[in-house]
Amino acid sequence: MNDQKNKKSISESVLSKIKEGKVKMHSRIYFIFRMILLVLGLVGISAAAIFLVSFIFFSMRQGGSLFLPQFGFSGIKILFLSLPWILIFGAVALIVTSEFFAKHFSFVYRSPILYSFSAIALVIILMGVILNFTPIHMNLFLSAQEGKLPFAGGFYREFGAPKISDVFYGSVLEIKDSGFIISTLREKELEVITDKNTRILNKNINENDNIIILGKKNGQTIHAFNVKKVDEKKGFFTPPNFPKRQPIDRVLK
Amino acid sequence: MGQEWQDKKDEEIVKLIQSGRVELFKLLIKRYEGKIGRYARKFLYNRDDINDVLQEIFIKTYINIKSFDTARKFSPWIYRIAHNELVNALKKNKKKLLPLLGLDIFLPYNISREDSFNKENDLRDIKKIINRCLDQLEPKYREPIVLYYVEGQSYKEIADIMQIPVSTVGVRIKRGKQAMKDIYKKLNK
Repeated sequence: MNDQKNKKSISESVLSKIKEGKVKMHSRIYFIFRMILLVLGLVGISAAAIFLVSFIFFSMRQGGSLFLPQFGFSGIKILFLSLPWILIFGAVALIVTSEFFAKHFSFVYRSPILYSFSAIALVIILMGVILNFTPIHMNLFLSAQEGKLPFAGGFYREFGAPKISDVFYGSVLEIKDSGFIISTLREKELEVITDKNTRILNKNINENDNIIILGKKNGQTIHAFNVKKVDEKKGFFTPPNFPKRQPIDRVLK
Repeated sequence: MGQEWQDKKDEEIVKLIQSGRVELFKLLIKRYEGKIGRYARKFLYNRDDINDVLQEIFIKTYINIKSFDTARKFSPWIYRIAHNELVNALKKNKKKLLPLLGLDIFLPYNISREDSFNKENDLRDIKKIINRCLDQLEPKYREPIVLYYVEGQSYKEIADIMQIPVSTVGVRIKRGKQAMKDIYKKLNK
């Protein structure tokens, strides 16, 4: 009896609210707009993640850390220690946010998170690698150096050419008996001293070659432990026609 | 409302409501009040709370009815609204929450396909213990068990209602069934 009374009251209460206009249906446009916002959110966050992933590759190449594995285990160790963790955590946060947005779609939430997250991360990383093949970051980096990039200029100047301790990446200006003179993105000229203890992994180093050096810097002189010529064009993560290592003012000329 | 409306499918009625036949919403309330009320009573025990939640569920259903795609099945859609309202009500009452996250939604599971023959067999065994043991079952397992055995939803529909992976639905039902059998055994000792 009571249940009957309750049923009546719930039904009547809802219907009277509808009749009085206290409760109104949302229009179809409202839902279309919400869906558009959701899709835009997903696309925007994913695009930001792709951009950041490609920037991480760019930044690691600029600093030379992408070529460190060529020095073997010690190079891999330095690579791990020099990884741009802030950028990596930022990219992971964006990928997680993308997953959160994508979870609104049935084909995503019906799969275990392990699968959907891996798929989203894989797509974003692949797209990031592809974007990395374009000159976009180099152009933005140069604009930032010229002060023509007001919005992201600080970001590019801060992370665009990271400094890794004891790792130097530059272009050979001159070959001397005692070693080389190189220029890097940060410094016009640095003298590299090699001796019998230095491991030079390529014998045919010429002027204008890009080389990576592991060593200790003292003033404008580097005492090299390891030297390796880098052929950026052969690097998987390197875009075609990537410029030589030159100090910024040279690049700008 | 005449007999002609009784034979109409939910989706047909919703289509008419969407096109302006608002008075037909009464039919939907009539069809789902009992089912949704039974579902809510498995998680809420206070009559006023249940009535408030039921009212809110039907109001939300009405407000959002134009977002429903009539090519799909209506019942998982309204149960999804009910699920969300129950989660909100439990949060408000600071009762044990329906878990939204768990390790079982991260990992894939090999769960045998849903089998209607097995479900019928299970139903005979499980119906008698559901009423006695359900209250003692963790809410995490309680909800899929109720939706599957009491409300007659499929794994895929439950996945849509709870927005969790289909394999997680399968594993929760399997574990929930086992947990209920254990509770039942303890009660009969």
